[in-house]
Amino acid sequence: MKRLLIIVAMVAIAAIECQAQERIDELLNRELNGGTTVYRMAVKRDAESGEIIKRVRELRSTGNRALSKEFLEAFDAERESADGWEENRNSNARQITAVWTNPKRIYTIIATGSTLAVYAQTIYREERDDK
Amino acid sequence: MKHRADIKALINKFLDGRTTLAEERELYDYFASDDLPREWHDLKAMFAWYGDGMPEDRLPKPAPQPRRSHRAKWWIATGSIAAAIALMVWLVPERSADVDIVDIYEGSYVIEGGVYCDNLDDIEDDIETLLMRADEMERHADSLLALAD
Repeated sequence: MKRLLIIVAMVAIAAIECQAQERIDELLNRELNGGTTVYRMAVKRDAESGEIIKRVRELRSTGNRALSKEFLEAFDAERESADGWEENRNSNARQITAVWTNPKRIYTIIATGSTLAVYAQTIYREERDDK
Repeated sequence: MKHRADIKALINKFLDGRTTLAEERELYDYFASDDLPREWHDLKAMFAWYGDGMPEDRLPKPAPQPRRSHRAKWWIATGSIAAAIALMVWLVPERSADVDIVDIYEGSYVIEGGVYCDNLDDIEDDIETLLMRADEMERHADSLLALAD
């Protein structure tokens, strides 16, 4: 019975970690074609094999405080599940870095006044330095 | 079971790098099945590899070269290879070094003011700047994880 409970708990934790970052991902996908946004997707591949090393998404917006608030709330909602977290804030700016491992994902938000920048990167493997 | 059109949309989303973790797992589970439409058979191995965490020991390896027992076949093969190399040198433009640099960013794009651009010649500077910033963030994230430990 104890073993069953441990297994159930592990499955539940894995499910929660799978759902982590989804709110942030959903907002990024929703704002893909937002009129006030600039959206960049950078893919970095291994030059020899072509396999993807990392994907990075960047969203920038100006004059949309409601969007900044939505993203900050999404970050706050996922704080408990993060493996690493750092937050800096002052009177008109807030910056958060959230990290999840396995798979490795790094999310950063910089909200200052009415400007917003959100970065979401997924690292698939370490870059080989064998050149 | 998802409708075929939904799976196709997810595949395109995956190739664009816009899938969430849950959507990727959905694709891995779908392509684990043996009952796939014929036009997607080629994708099965790819999604199996991604779903297994991209193990390095399962990267495609070059097929072993068969031993040639006849001298004539050896000369024909050698001549064909030499001709192919000569043709490639003649056809490939001198910007091959630039082509290699651009290819490592394949799949990148920018959407600005609703306008989509994936011409790597046009967006290369943007992409490199973003990747440099991402590398800095990754180093910072690693220090956070080290502190958390």
